[in-house]
Amino acid sequence: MQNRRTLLKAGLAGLIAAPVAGRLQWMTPAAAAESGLKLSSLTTEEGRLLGEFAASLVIGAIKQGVVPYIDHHITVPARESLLTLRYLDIMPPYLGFYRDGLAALAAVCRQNGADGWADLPAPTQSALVAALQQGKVENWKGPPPPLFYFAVRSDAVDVVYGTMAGFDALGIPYLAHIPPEQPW
Amino acid sequence: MVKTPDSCDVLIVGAGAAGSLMAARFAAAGKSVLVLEAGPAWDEDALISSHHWSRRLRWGGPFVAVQGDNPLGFGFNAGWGTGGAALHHYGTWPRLHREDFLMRSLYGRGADWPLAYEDLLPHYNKIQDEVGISGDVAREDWRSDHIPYPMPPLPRSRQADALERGFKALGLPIAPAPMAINSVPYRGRPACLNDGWCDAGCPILALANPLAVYQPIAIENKARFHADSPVTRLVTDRTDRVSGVFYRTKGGALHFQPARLVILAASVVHNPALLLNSVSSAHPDGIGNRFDQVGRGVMSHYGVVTFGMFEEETDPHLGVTGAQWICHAGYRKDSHPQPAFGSFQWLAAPSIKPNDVGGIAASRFELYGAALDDFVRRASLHIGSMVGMAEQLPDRANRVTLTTEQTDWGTARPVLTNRFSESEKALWRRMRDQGLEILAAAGATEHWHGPPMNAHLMGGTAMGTDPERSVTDKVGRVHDMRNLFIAGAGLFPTAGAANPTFTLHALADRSAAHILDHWGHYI
Repeated sequence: MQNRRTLLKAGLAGLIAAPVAGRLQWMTPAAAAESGLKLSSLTTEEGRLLGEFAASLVIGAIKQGVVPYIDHHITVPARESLLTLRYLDIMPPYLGFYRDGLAALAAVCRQNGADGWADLPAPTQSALVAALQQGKVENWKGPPPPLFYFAVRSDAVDVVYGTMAGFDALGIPYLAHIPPEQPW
Repeated sequence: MVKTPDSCDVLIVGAGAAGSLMAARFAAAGKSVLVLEAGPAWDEDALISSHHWSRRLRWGGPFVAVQGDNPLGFGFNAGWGTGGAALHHYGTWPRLHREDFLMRSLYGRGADWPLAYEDLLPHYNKIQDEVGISGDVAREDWRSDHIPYPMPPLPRSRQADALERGFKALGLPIAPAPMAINSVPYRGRPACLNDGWCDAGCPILALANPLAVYQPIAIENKARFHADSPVTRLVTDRTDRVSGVFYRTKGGALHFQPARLVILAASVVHNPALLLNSVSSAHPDGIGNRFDQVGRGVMSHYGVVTFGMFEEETDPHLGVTGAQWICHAGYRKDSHPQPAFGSFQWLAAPSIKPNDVGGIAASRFELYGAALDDFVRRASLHIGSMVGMAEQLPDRANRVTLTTEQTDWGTARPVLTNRFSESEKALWRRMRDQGLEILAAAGATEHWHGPPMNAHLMGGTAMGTDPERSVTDKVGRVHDMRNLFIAGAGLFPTAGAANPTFTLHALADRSAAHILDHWGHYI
C-alpha cells in the first residue's frame, strides 16, 4: 500500500534526494538551490539558462529552487515525476523535452548576441517571450515554443506560488487535509 | 512464465470506479473476485493536499500517444492505481437527461442507447443512497423524477454568491451542484471541510472516491485487489469464451490467471487496447472486433473555463474543486444557432488555487514577471470561474488504435485520435460567449476565458443492439463472447454534457445485477 511515508522513502515526494557531504539527504527545491547542489541530469550551463528564463517568467523562481526541482523530476522515472508535463501528454523521458528546449533557447540568445537569457536587454526578452507564446520564434529547433514556455512557467509557478510558503505569501490559507511533511 | 493455479469466479481488470463497484457487488454475492490493477495501491494517507503531489494519481503506465486535429488529453483525465481516475475526480454527479439516451431517434444524430433513462433510474437512485449526494433536486428543473438527495447542498462561498448574480441577471436557472461529497456526516463518513483540495484526492473520504465506498465493501467480502499487475492479454479457450488473462507483476514476470468471468474496467483507452492486443487465430482483429467497432467513437466534453475578477473578495480557494452551481439551461440540443448542436452545462464557482493547469496563474497564459505576480495576488482573493462542458457526438474516426511500437508491458502502444466537428466547435463558441456574458452580468470588472480543453473520456466500446455498430450488448457483454464484459464510461454510445461518473456507476450496478441474476447463463 502506498501512503505518504512509503512515498517519501521511495522518493516520490516533491522533495529532492541529494548527496550532501557524502550522504543522501532530502531537501526542498529552495534548500537545494541555496546549497548550490550539483545537478543530476542538466548541465551547469543548462541549469543556469533554465533558472534565468524561469525567473524572468515568475519572480523568485531561482530562489525557490525551480532548477533543482525540474532537474530532479526529469531524472526520476516518469511515473514518479511531479512535473506539469505529466498532464500534457508529452512522451517521457522528460529530460529530452527540457534539453531540446533549452538548446533552442540558447541558440536564440546567441542569435541575439548574448551568452545567456539574463544578458539579453529587457525589450529583447519581452519580444522573445511574446514570440514564444505565439509560436513564432525564428530558427527554433525545440519543442513547440508555446508548450516549452507553458511548461517552464508552470514549473516556476509551482515552486513559487504552489507551496505552503507561496500560499502564505499570497495571503490565503493552505488548509491542508494532509500537509506535505516538508514545505512541499 | 508462472501459471497461477487457482481460478476465480470474476476477474476484474482495473480498480477504478466501475471495477470497484463490480467487485463489491460480486464479492457480496459470494463470488470469488480478483481485481488486477496496473498501477500502485493507494490508501487515503497518500492523498496529500498539494497539486504537485496529486500528479502521482494520473496515468503513470506506458505512454499513450494522442493525435489528430484536436488531440484529447489522456494524462490529465486518466487515473493510475487503485481508485483510478475516480480517486482524483471532483465528485460532480449530475445525471444524464432522458434525451441523451435517444439521440438517433430524436435528432437523427449519434446513436440511441440500448436502454432508456427509466432503465437506469432505479440504479441511479440506489447508488445515490449508497454513496450519498448533496444537492437540491427541487431546483434541478430539467429533472422529471424528484427523488430527494440524501443530503442538503454543500455550503456556499462568496464566489458562488458573486456568480449567482450573473445567472440571475440573464434569467438562467441554476441549482446547487449535485456532489458526491458529504455536506453532513453520512454512512460513517465525515462532512466535507470545504478546503478545495478535491482533485488531490480526499483523504477524509467525504468525497465518494472508490476508497471511500465500494472498495471497503469489496474487501470486507473477501475480494482481492492486486496492484502493480497490468493485464496484457485476454486468452480464449473457445471462440466465444475467455479462459483467463495474462498479466505482469513488478519486475516484469508474466502470469496466467484463469477466471470464469472477466470484466474489463480499465480506462476508455485501455479496454479497447486490451481487446485489440488479444489477437488470435479465432480473433484475428482482436476480441469483439469482428465488425471493426472496437476503439471507435471515443468522446469527451469539449470544455472552456471562463474567469472574472470581482471587486469583492470571493474566497476562491474555498469550497470544492467540482462546482457549487450547476446550470443546464444550455442542455437543449437543438436550441443553438446553426451549425451548433448538442448540450452544454455550466459548473460554476469551483475552488481554484494559484498553481496547476486549472489554476489561477495558468488562466492568464500571456502574463509573466511582475504582471503575473500582480495578477496572482489579486486573483487569489477576487477571482471567480465557471467550467463549461459541451457534448461531443460519436465519430467513427475518433478512436483508439494500436501502433507497432511495443510498450514495457510487451503490448502494442495505443494511440488516441480526435477531431472536433464544426458543429461541436460552434457549440463551444456559443458556450464560451455565454460564459463571458454571465461573468459580465455578475459584475466582474474583467472577464476572460481559457483555451479549448477537454474533460472526461467516454465511448470506444459502445453498447448497442447491433453488433455491426457497437461492441457490447445492453448489459456490457462483448458481442460474440459469452463471459466477457466491459464496465465504465467506455460503454456510453453518446456523451451528453453531464459528468459521467454517476452514470457509469448506475450502469455498472445494472450490469452486475443482471449478471448475478443470470450467472449460469454466462459461465
